[in-house]
This record gives sequence, structure tokens and C-alpha cells, in this order.
Amino acid sequence: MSIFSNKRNHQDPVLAGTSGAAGTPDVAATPGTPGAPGTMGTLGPTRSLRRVSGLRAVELGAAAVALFLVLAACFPTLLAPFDPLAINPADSFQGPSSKHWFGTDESGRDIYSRVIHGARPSLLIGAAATAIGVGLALVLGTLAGLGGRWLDFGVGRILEVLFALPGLLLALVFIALAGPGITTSVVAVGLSTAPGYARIIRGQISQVRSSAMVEAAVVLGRRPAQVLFRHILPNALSPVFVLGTLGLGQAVVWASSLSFLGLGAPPPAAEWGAMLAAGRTYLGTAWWMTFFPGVAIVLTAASSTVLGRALQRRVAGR
Amino acid sequence: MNAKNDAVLRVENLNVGFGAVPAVRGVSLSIDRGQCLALVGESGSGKSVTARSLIGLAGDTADVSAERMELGGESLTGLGRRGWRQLRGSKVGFVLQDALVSLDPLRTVGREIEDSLRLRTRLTGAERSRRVLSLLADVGMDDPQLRAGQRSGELSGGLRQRALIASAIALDPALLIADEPTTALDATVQAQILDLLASLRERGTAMLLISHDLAVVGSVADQVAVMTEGRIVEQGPVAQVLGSPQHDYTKKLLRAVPSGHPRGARLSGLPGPSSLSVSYGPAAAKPKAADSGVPQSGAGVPVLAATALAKRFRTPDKTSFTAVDHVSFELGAGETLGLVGESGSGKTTIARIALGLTVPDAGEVRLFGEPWSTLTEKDRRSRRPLIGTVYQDPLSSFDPRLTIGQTLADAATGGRTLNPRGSAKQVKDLLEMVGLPADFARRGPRTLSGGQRQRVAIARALAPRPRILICDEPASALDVSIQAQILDLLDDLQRELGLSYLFISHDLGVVRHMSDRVAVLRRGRIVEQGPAEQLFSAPQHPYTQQLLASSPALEAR
Repeated sequence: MSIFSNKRNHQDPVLAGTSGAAGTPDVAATPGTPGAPGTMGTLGPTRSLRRVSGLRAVELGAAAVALFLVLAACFPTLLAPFDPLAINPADSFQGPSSKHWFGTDESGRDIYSRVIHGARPSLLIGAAATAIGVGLALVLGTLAGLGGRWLDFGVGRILEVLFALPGLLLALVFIALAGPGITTSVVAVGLSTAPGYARIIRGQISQVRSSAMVEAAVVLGRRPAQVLFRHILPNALSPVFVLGTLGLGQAVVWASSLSFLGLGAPPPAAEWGAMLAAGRTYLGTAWWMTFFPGVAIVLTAASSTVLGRALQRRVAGR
Repeated sequence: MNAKNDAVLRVENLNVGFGAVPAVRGVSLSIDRGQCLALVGESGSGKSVTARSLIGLAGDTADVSAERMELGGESLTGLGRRGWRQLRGSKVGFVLQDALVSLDPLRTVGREIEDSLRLRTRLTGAERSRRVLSLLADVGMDDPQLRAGQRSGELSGGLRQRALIASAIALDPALLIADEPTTALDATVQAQILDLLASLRERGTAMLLISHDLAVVGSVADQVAVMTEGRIVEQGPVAQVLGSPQHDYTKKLLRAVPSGHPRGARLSGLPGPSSLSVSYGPAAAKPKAADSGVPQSGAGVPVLAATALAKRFRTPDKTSFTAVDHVSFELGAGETLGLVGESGSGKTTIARIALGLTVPDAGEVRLFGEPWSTLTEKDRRSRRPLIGTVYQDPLSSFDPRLTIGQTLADAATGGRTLNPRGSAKQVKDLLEMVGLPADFARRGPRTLSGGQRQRVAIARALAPRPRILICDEPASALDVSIQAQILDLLDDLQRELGLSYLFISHDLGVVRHMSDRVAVLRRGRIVEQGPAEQLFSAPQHPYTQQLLASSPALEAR
């Protein structure tokens, strides 16, 4: 299903509140021509057009970065000049140069090639973790939003317990129980982001459920399943996809953090968090070993945030 | 008339623009001591912008210019922020429509009023307290001592409005500007506030009253200025302008006021429909009803009958209040039953019970003589097409993700499809039936104006070919000329399709114009019920008499 491809109005108080701060004008607030049937006025050019085009440069930049990252993740060999794992002790600790753009590490591996190759595990971990988090939240949030008072109460208390623990701590506990590795760190990050999404989904669903729109459908004689799938779920869940995009960057940062602590991808692999950890020892002499993987993490998180915001504005501002 | 000396406010050729958009064009006004000038117009006519310009609150983006703008002989043109601040409160008082947001919810009413006294006078604390109490007594507060210690959230709408007026007149300003001061209030409370404004005027305060309600204007003002599109199109004494209007726009506004126009008379001045029967003739409506096994009402069987309905709601503090108490009524085929009452009288609860959305604690609603409110939702579903509803705020009842065409296709096909192409003919006919062009099917609900949305809401309600429409304040949120069009449309549809309406409104004029019979609600009970003309011309119950007396009405012309 393509929630975002259909060009329709969307009304969402949660998101509208945040995007309102970013200066998105409400289309409904622009003066239309009063409803005389003879004078069906069209809306004039609104301020929203100008505002959006003012932000477009940033959004385009973020989209370019995201495109590059996806390309790097899919076809790393196209972009990377060297084998990321090939050891060449003669070339160790070289600073950035025309041959090694980002310099080399302690074993003479090309940092640029490793950063490019690192895109795949990082993005995969981020995407998979977000998918797990949102998926789990969908189940919990829908149960709580639709399942009646006791189920709502039960799920609500579970979420509150999870909220009481910092997300990263939750992830660490899970890894301590399940053992380190890429798979466990994906699941760990997913688990720890789920409560946040779940609570939003629950709120959205219970809000849409009590709206006049649903009442109108009941008055028209619609069956509960029809109301659920036609009105409640699409309206309640579309903001979640926006939040997922926003959360992707955060998941990448978290996954890198776990790798940095030695709990994610094992050392020889080209993974940004692991590269940061390896470079930490040589921070004083070879800054490029930590700087470039760090930049990659920051760019990933920033571009996903900018794109998520842009998406949010489109969805909420229509 | 010694207007030259007495004029409190003189404005000549006021122009206000926002960027390239002119909001007020060449407005000239003059108000004498003890006189009330009413500025009348529909939303967007520039009346509020005019008033705000007079106190320097038109906004930073506004471009205000005037040949002359004088208050009590002093020029207002070229005042700085400081100058305006000195002026507000002491020379001009300002009363806004929504008193709830105009008063600080965290401060007591007494402190709100005392503020301006502390800033602008040399009174001592004790003198200020005494003055606050006497002001509250002046605006007709029952227990000033108690009220001064309360916050705005603890006061009713009418008391809040009084408190706001008290703070506006604390410094005895020469001019009081009241922007829609009674719009959000019930009829009886509105009458009290209007009396209060009239008594202030007798004390010599000049008043600029802004309103869209011609009846209110007629009962308070001496002079009227009619505004549209930023211009004053007609100005003069109330009796003259409302009695023998010269300008077409004034005539149109007056014709649109429903009170005083007999049932069936057209309000909008637009021609009636030409070919409604295209898609929804009374005969064509039958198969649908017959399919679902619903017996057609024989002569004498009411389409909707409520007997001894009761509903109590629990309040957060464990007590309960009775929203509907022993309410019985019958709605005949092709008839309109008006339900009138003030806010909190149980109108909407009755509508919800009639729609099968709220289960009554006692009593029963029968549809075409068969059980309705006692059914389970599952059993009710097959009969739901018989009864539709039109809301006061249609926007929230549309799915924002769907276009108008999809919404109507969904309603017309019983939810089988959202694809407006598959049911293009039905969608087009529905839009045509409510007077909208076919290309509206592609638009989203948010891009429509209030009147257009209400038309779509009516089209959707008619799509399953119901026999009954429950209309809950269907035109209350609309400007008077748009309201006239919607009321006319409902009238036409009823005549063409033989619909029965349960018509709910707080507006006596609207109910009188629309209804064959009327039931008056007070605190969940029907105090009087009868044929509309009889009930309005010779009300029996004291409450009905009070309600009628307090609603300002334009004399029938």
C-alpha cells in the first residue's frame, strides 16, 4: 500500500503540532472563497508553496546523501577503489591523500573503501531494527487501541515499565542475555525503540476511533471491520511511517554505538561503529580513522531526519 | 445635531492592507457620545480588521493608513507602540467574542479587572478593590464578592462575558468596541448582555458593535454600517437601513435572515433546483428500503417515534446528571420536527439516541413502527440506510485521506468501493443534487469552504437514500447568506424527496423557518410541543415565552 503516494489531505494533531512549529501553514486556514455555488473559488497561491520551496535545498541535499548511501550499500564495489579487508602493512596510518582519500588504518586498509562498504551493514541494521520496532509497536499499539479497556490497561502498564528503562540500557540487557552479534544488536535496538512507537500508535488509533469520521461511517451502516480497515488504520498509521523514517537515523546511531562497544559487528568487518572503536586507540595520531566513519554516521542520521521531517510536513500540511 | 463637537470617534478613508491584499478600503465612520454604531458583515468582510486598526492591533503585517483617525479629538495616526498602549483600556475598551480565551485562566476575575486600575490610576489597594466590586455589580454579576475571587474557568459563558466587559470599562473609556460580544452565547444570556451594553450606552459610552447578526444589531444600535469586501456599502440609522435597504447586498443579507420568513419561503434568493428527480425520485428510493425488508410506513404510522427516552451521564466527580428526561416525540412522513433549546438542554444526546449511537437508559425509539434503539448494532446495520445525519461541523466527519468523490462513492455503494470512477454517475448526480459542480469529486474536504462542505455532507447523507435526516445545527457555523442557501437546499430536498427531518438548533428563527412542528427542550425535558406557528405566536409554557422574548428578532418585512 502506498500511504504517501496518494495525494490527499491528512490531518494529524501529533504531527501537525510539531510541524506547526516548523512553520507549516495549515491549508484549511487559508481563506477560500465562501461557498456560494455560483462562485466556486479556487484557492489562490498560498504561503505554503513558498515556505516549502525555501526548504527544498536542504531536502534535496538530504535526498542526495541518502541516495549515495543507498547506492553504496547496494553496490559498494562501484564506489570503493580498494578491498575493505585487504591488509597492506606498508601503507598503514597514512593521512588523507589523492590515493587514499580518507587515509588508511593501522593495517593499511583504505578508510574510504571501508566507509563505503560500511554503509550496507549500518543501513541494514538501522532498517531492520526500525522494522522490528515498528512491527512490534503495531501489534502492541493496535491491541491497546482497539482491544478494549483491560487490554489497553495491560499493554499500557507494560509500555510504562519499558519506558522507565533507557532504550540503550534495554538493548544492553538484551545483548547480555542473548550474546553479542549483528542479529542480536538488530533485535535489541528494535526492542528498545518499540515502546515509543507503540504509544503513538495507540494514541492515534483511539483518537481516530472516537472521531466524527468513524461515527459517520457507523451511521452509514458500515461493519466494524470495514471501518477499521478503511478509516481507522490508514489514518492512524500513516504518521507512523513518517516516524519510522525519522527513527531510522536514530537506529543507525544506536547500532553503531553497540558495535563501538564491541557488541555488534565483530572487528575486522567494515562497520562504522566498529571502525570508530578501532580508531579510538590512535585518536591522537590518526584522526582520520575515527573522523570519517563518524561523519558517515552523522550524515546518515541527519539525512534521515531531514527527509522524515519533509515527509511529515507533506503528510500533515495537506 | 451637534455631531462635530460630540463625535468620540472620527475615521475618514481608512485603508488596511496585508501585503498586496486590501482588507479595508476607504472606510469612514463617526460615532457620537452615547451612540452605538454597528458594523455588519459576513466573515472576511473586513469588519474585525477595521475595529482592530482603531486600537493599533491590526498586526505587524498590516498596512494601515487613514486621512483622519481621531478619538476624542486626538489623532491616532502615527501613534507608536507606547502611544497605543496608553490609549487602550483608558480611552478605548475592547470586548472580544470568546471570553474564555480573553481572560487569563490562572488569575482571578478581580485581579484581571484590577490590573488596568493599578497601571493607570493612583487609587490605593482598598479603593481599587471597592472599584472592582462596584464594576462587577455594574455589569450585573449576582455576587460580586464571590465572583471577584473566581477564575474564568469557574464562570459560565455569560458571566465571563460580563467580567470581560467589566475589565473593558474599568477606566471608563469613551469608546467601547465589542467584537461579536454575544455570538457564542445562548439566547437568554445574549439578551442579558445586550441589555448591559444598552445601559452602558445610556451612561454616555460610545460604542462600536461588530456583528454578523442583524437581529442583534437591530435591537442595540442606532446607526448601522454594512460592510462587504472591505467597503461600507450602506450606512445610516438602523430603522432606515434595516427597514428600507437600498443596496443589493443589504437586501440579500436581510432576506437571508430566517426569522420572520414563512416556512418554505426562499432565503437565498437563488432559484430552486431544476431536476432533482434524476437520481433520487421518491419512487426510486423505495427499492433500497424494500430490499432490506423494511415495511413502508402506512398512513398514520410515524417514521420515527420516541417514547419516554431517558439518559443519564456520569460526571468525573462520581455524580451523574440527567441529559434527557422522559422525552417523547413523533416524526411523521415528510415532516420536519424542530428541536430547540439552549446549550446543555440535551438536543445532541437526543440526536445520538435517534441515530442509534447512544443507548438510552429508558424508553425506546421506533423506526417505521419497528424496534430501533433496542436492536443490537448488528441488527440495526441493515436498516441504517433509512436514517442519515448532517453535522454542524462536517469537516471532522470526512476522512481526510479521501477525496469528495471517494467519500460519496463509498456512501453511495454501501462501502463496496472507494473508486469514484466506478460510480461516477452516482457521484455526479449526488453533487448535482446539492448544487455542486461535478469536478468537486476530485477535491479534498479541506479545500472546500464551510458551505461547500455542508453541501457535500448533505450529499453523503442522501447517498444511501434515507427517509429521515437528523440535522444537528446544520447551518449554525455558517454566515447568514450561506446559512440561507443550506436551509433552502434542505427545504428543496425535503419537498422533492419526501424526507422527514429532525431539525435541531439553538436558533429560534432557523427552527421556526424550517419546522412544521417544534419541541422546546429545557434541561433534558420537552416543556412544550406543538405546530410551529402556534407555538411561536402563542407560547404556553413560561420558558418558551422567556426564550422567545429574549431572542432579538427583526420585524417581518
